Amino acid sequence: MIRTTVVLGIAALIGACGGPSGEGDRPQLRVGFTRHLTMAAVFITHAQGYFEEQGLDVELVPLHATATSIPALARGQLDVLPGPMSPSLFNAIHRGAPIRIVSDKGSFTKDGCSHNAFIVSPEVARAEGKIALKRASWGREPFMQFAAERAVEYLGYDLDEIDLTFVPNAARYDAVVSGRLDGGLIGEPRLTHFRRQGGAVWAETNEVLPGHQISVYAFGPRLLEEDPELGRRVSIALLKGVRQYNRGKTPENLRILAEALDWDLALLQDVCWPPMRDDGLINAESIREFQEWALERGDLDAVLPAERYWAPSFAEHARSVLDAGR
Amino acid sequence: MSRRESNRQVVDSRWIPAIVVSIALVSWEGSARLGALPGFLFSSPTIVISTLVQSLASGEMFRHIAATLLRVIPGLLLGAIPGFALGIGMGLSPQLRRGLDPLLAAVHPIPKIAILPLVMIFLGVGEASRIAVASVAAFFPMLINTMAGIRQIDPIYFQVAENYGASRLKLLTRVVLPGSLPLVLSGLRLAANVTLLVTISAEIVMADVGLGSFVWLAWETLRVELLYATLIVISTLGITLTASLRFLQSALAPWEVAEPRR
Repeated sequence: MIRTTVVLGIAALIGACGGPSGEGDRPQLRVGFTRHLTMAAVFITHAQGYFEEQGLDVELVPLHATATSIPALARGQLDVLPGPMSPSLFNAIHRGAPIRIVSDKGSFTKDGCSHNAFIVSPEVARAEGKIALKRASWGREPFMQFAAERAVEYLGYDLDEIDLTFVPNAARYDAVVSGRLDGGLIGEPRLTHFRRQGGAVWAETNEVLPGHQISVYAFGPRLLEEDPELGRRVSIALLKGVRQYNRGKTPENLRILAEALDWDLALLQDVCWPPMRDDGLINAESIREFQEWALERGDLDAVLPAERYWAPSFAEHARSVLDAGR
Repeated sequence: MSRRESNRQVVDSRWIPAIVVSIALVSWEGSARLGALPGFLFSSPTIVISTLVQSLASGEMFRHIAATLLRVIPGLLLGAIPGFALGIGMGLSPQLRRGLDPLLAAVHPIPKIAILPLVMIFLGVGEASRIAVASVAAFFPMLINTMAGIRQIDPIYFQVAENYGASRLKLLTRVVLPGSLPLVLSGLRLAANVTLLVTISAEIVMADVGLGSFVWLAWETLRVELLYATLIVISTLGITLTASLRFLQSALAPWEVAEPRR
């Protein structure tokens, strides 16, 4: 009995001192994610072992929404947060949260495909001439509202004339298809389903907001302040993942994403993969436009200059390391 | 212990929550001002109160309160009235109770917010779906309490009424309703609270106006002072709703509300 207790005690002590051999000296990091195609580069970076190449032990942490996870990033519960432009990011920085944008994670490009679009119901599509949009819906996420408002204006409609109602993504698609809504903004993979069924797409967001920043990688205090060298290694891994993603629908990328998203390969082949930049740079001008929109709505404390939210050194370092190795 | 000492103890104990809350608020304010709490997560109470006053003065908060109440009140009525009626039926009829009890046991535990997508298929994406979910939430506590209220009536009352040849209507008005009233009113209070809860949840998921939608927007944009201000409003609304129903209970069933003197 005593021997068993001693053995168990020693085993517990060994366990407490570090984990399996070989992993003890690798820094452990937590990267948030949501199960969306916009997170493709994160899945590829992880699956291809680019974090391990940099000597990092990364845990992918599933999140319900990235915009509402900013406090977790600021408090160090997450080290990296990939996510869309959000007033919460800028408000947190303005109020002193130790977080910064470090790299691009997606933008609308005029020549590329569009993974978001403003769609209309069959009845509206069939109507001759300009028909009033009475009821429309888009997502609750501020950036999607921004994109949808711009799309409506692009189509020549007045926002004040539309009865805007918030409907969850899946229900929004059904509501437009069944004619309960006149129109709405939807994203992939429902956009591809809609196109396959011959649905009418009125405005593609890459035409409405060409070059606009959609999504970014943000770092928390550990990678920015406590251990920037670790941050640089993470940046190299992430940019390598983006570049692998930018090779397009290769069998390897398809396999990784089919597994991560639980989509079938045919669907992955058809959907639009959100464009990401090979150099990790962001479009600060478009971010300013988004901030001004959010400020006007009362969602933002202040419009921040790029120096306040953007830490370019990480992307620059990653780019120089990866370009040197080419 | 003398009567005076006992009274003083009662008075003192009433101050305890106020003292605890005051200490918590002063500590919170001090910590926020000294920078001991991260500003992006904890606004000071004075900032929260000033945000609350501003949002009330601008009318924005009232717009959200009105939208929530215009869902809670119809939802409560549409759920509680059928719940009450079916509760009477199930309380009086063992056959009906035996027939519907398994269905009740199966449907009652389903989180009401989870049926929102299903409701939307039938009622569309507008107000009707949100009110329908709220009314489903109100239905069950009312049904269960009404049924329990009738079943706890001493059978002797039914026997006496029967011996005196009371009609069904008389039985209902003289025995069933007065006998079950305290539990029915408790059910109404429960139903009101659950309706408020589910309405706010539905607004978080699917509404552009309403307290739930306002809470979510505040969190989505990390305006924590607005988040706390809206939570204060929701809490006040809950207290007001409960107090109103308690008043109704004291008016309709005073014998149940009055606390026994010791």
